Parts: sequence; structure tokens; C-alpha cells
Amino acid sequence: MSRSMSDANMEKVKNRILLVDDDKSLCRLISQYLGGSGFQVEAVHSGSEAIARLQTHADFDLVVMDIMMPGITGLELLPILRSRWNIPVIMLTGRGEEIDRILGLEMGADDYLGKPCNPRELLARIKAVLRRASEPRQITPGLFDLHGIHIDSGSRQARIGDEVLVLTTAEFDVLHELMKYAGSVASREDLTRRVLHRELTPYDRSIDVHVSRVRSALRGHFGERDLIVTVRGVGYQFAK
Amino acid sequence: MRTGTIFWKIFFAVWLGYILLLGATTVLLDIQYEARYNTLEVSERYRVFAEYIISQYESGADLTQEPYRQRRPGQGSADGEDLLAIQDLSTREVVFGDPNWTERENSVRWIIERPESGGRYIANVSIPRLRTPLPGLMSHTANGLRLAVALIFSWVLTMVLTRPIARLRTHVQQLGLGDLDQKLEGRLMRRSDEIGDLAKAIDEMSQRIQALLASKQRLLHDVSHELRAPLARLQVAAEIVRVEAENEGKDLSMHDRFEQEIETLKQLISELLLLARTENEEQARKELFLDRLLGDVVADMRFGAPERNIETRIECVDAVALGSEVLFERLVKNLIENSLKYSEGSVFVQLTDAGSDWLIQVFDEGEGVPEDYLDLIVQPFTRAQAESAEGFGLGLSIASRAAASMGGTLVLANRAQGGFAATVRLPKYSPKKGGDT
Repeated sequence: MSRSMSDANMEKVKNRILLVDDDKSLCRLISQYLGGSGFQVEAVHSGSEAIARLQTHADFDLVVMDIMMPGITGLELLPILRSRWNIPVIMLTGRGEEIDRILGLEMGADDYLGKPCNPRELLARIKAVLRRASEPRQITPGLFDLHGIHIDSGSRQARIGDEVLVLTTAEFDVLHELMKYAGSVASREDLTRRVLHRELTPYDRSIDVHVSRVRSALRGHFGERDLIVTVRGVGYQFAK
Repeated sequence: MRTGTIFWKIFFAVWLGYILLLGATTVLLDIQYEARYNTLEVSERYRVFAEYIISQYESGADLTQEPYRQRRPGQGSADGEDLLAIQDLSTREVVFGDPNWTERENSVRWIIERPESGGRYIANVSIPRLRTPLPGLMSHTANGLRLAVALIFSWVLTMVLTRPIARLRTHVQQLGLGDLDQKLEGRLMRRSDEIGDLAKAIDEMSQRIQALLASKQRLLHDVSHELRAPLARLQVAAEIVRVEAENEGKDLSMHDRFEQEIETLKQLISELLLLARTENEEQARKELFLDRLLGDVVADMRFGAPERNIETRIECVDAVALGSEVLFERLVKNLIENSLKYSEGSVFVQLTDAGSDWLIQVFDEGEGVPEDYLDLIVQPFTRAQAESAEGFGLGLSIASRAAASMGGTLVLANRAQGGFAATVRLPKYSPKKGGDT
């Protein structure tokens, strides 16, 4: 499947987004805005509604959800979504508190956005996450073997021996990128661009959170030996 | 223990009072004693005794016998001296008492005539020199001892009086520093005297202030928080209109203006929320490696302002303090941002070890801040250069409160060689002592 064909497909088949937010009028506005950019948005207003909706039809390409919701909060909903459905998630952190963002990322959100967010920024993030989710099928499958870690970018699997590492898409991409350039330093800017498909901004700790998640996943197999070295002020380096 | 003026005032008053009292008592006792031993009374008492002795002498009794020798009317001299001497005028013989009585000073004499026997006698009673009832009471050693006792006594009394006041003072000082959670000791509160009343009044006052502050914080937080929802909707609505205008090829300058003002409002709200959060007591505190965090923040700042020179000097490794990572980052970021904004040249950031504290200094080569403003600029919405400034004047307030939330201080000053210097002191934290976090 060539790149141009898949782009054409994306034009034709509207991406379906599930919006989970208790602010109904905001949901209407966002639906209208994203609808204008070719997305089909369905809005639900609580965590339990979101679960119910996904149980009947899990035909969404992306979930955008608020953290602050009555009942099941976004942070409680995220692990449930992660364990049952393989749909990328963008978190809206209503409180704008960094702790929520980091928590959200650590629990496996693909990206986060402070709320109130600039709708253009939301649109850009949605596109970036969707592109990342669909990208691996377009690049030539690559295999890496380093320190006993086996990476198959075709099936998007990382294995150590027979054991499959449980990683989110972003985490897999981080490991993939780091191993691809093992021995040289990957800057935080480059990693953000290549993995999250956006520019690094000051105080954006997402990439660091993803790296630290990969680190702890590897720690289970390599113990104290850190394969990923932090180069302060620059970025990260995978041991050759 | 620091002793204030009130301590010394009370101490000296009590001590002086005690000495005066002791002195007065001594003098009074002396006067009383002297009065008892006044000449007339003594001679009157001895007159009867003398008559008795003479009658015994005339009847031929041996006056050297013990019963006669030691018998004296009333209280005699304590040293066992014979006070009474009797001389037979006809024979010039001393028949009773001290034979050398004539040498005695301060004595009273009188002639006793015995009509029955025709004898004439002279009786002499030596009045003891004024002796105080407690011998040695006026000696230097005794005076020194008395002074020392008075000193100890006054000290203890003063301590008893001023200790609760000192405790109240420390408490009120702490309240003044903003530590409103501090509770007064139950012992002070239970007192039924004036100090107890004062303690209760102070406690009520601090509770009231705390409630007021909390409600102010809550209001600030709630208002800011509630503003976000309509603002979020406003932003999406504005963007929808903008996209329509864009598609119709209209002028977008007003839409840009919309967007700019919405961004300003958003930023103000998030700053206000952060300010409200710095005072939130439930702030999670964990071990922070200041050296690493500082390096990260500086890297971020360089990334954000690549045209500026930010020099760092980090002299410590594993500089651990207790606090919130977010607030510490904001603290340093705001200080560096402040220097970047108000000065042209390089900005210097350094971390040094200052004994029990970590010292973080941020300084620049700018013009500094007018002295009058140094204390004011940590107040919210205060800016030294109001006309040229962007932002809301919240940066240094947040920095100051963030430092306080970590148990530290922020001091702002102008450097002698020009420029502005912000000094943050954060208490060190040793993980061994602190246990788990």
C-alpha cells in the first residue's frame, strides 16, 4: 500500500473520534469544529457512557477525554480503555496540573493537552496521533536485535527472548527510535518530532515520561543496568 | 533562650524588691531587739535580782554556787557572760559577778541600800552592745549569700512569669510568618489567668485569619477554575468563526486579536491557579534533586530563548531538598524569566552549598529594581516597570510562595555592581533521616 493511496483513503473514510467530556456545550462546539476538518465526532459525557458506547461498537480511531469528570474520572477510565481496546487516547487535562499530565502519560495516554486548549493545537495533536497509529504499516518492516531485545517494526512488537514487552504505541516508537540510532545521542527535540510528531516546547516532559516508561519496562529484564543513558540537557542514548 | 526586655524588667524589679525587703526586715528586727534591751527595762529587771543576791549575801550564802551564778532574769546574754556585778561599798569587795566590772562599758549602775543591815552596795548591769538577733547576719559572706539567693529566687520567679509570654511571642511570630497551622500548647490554653485568656484570644484570632485566608484562596481558585469552562468554549467558538472567515477569504486581524486575548486570559487563569496552589497545604512533597532539576530548567530556558546567554554554575551533586517538582521548576523558571525579561546581558544561575541550606542564585546585568519596589514586587500584580512589562506580575509572587512551600525563603536585592539578584534558600533534606517518602 503506497503512501498516496493511504492518504486518499484517509480523505474518504472519515476518522471517528470519541469525545468524552461532561461539558455538553463544549462537546457540541468541538464536534462542530472537528467536523469541519473532516472528522466524525461522537460525544459522551461520562466515563460509564464511554465504556458503554465502546462495548457496543469499538469503531473509533481515537478517544479524546477530559480528566475531570463526575463519576469515573479520566484517570480511572484510561486503564480500563487500555486494557480492553487498542485505541489511542488524548487526554485533556482540565486542571492543567502537570501531575495530571504525567500521570496520564504514565498510565498510557498517547498525548495530552491542557484545557482550555487551542482547537488548532487539538486538531494538530489528533492528526499526529492518528498518523503515528497508522504509520508503521507504511514503512518497510525492520528488525533490530540488540542486547537480546528483538524489535519487529512490522508487527510493532518488542520481545526479550520469548517474552513480549508490554508497551504503548508511543513507548514502542521511543524504543524503536533509540535502538535505531543506538550508540549516538537522540536529542529530545528529534525524539519528540519523530515519536510524537510535533515540536518540542519548553516544559514539555512527555518524551521524558515515555522514555522513563520504556526504561522501567526494560528494568524488569536487565535489572540495575540502564541501557538508556540520559545525556543531560541534550537527550537520550541507547547503549551500543 | 533569648531574654527580652520584659524579662530583665521583671527580673530586676523582683530582685530589687527582694533585697529591699530583706534589708528592711533586718533593720526592723534590729530595732525590735534594741527596744527589748533598752537600758531602763534591763536595769528594772535586774533590780529585783540584785536585791535577792544581796539578801543571800547578807545571810551568808556562797554566791559562787551554780544556782546563783547563772541565774538571770529574762533572756540573758547568749554568751554566758555575767551581766550583773555587785560590790559591797563598805568592804569594796566584789561579792557577785565579774570582779573587773568597772572596766565594762555601757552599763547601768545604781546604789542599793539595805536599811535592815545598814549595808550599801553598788550594782552594775552591763548592757550588751547592740547585737542583732542572728549573729553574722550583716557579714560580707552573708550579704553575698543573700544576694545570690535573691538572684536565684528572682530568676525562677521571673522565668515562671515570662516563660508563657515568651511562648506566646514565639507563637505569634510564627503566625506572622504565615504558619497559621501552628497550634498553641494545651498547657497555655488551659490556664485560667490572664495569660490563658490571652492565649485563647490569640488562638481564636489565628483561626479566624486562617479561615479568611483559606476562603480567599478558595475563592481565587474557584473563580479561576470556573472561568476555564466558558473560556474553553469561547476559544472553540472563536476558532470556528475564524475558519469560516478564512474560507471566505476575509481579513483575519480581528480574529487574531480574539485569539491573542483569549490566550492572555488563559495564561492569567493558569497563573492564578498556580498561585492558589502554592498555598495549598496538601501539596505533595517529595525528594527533589535540585542540581538535576535546575539543569533541566536551564536547558528549557535556553531552548525557549536561544538568543540569550544563560550561564550556570552548579557546584553541588545530589543536592536534595523536599518539595514539589512542579513548584520548584516554576520557582527557578520564574526567576530566570524575570531576569531575561528585565535585562539585556547574560543571566547567571548558580547552586551552592550553604551549610544547612542549598543556595540558588539568579542574577543579571540589568538595571535592577528601584529600592522601594524590592519588597513590593513579590505581591501579586505588582511590576516594577509597569509600562513596559508583559505578563501579570504574578511570577515573583509564585516564586516567593513556592520557596515558602519548600520551607525556604526568597530574597530579592540589587547587586552592588548593578543588576538584580534573587537568592533562594532551601533547607537541605537528608534521606536517611527522613525515612520513606
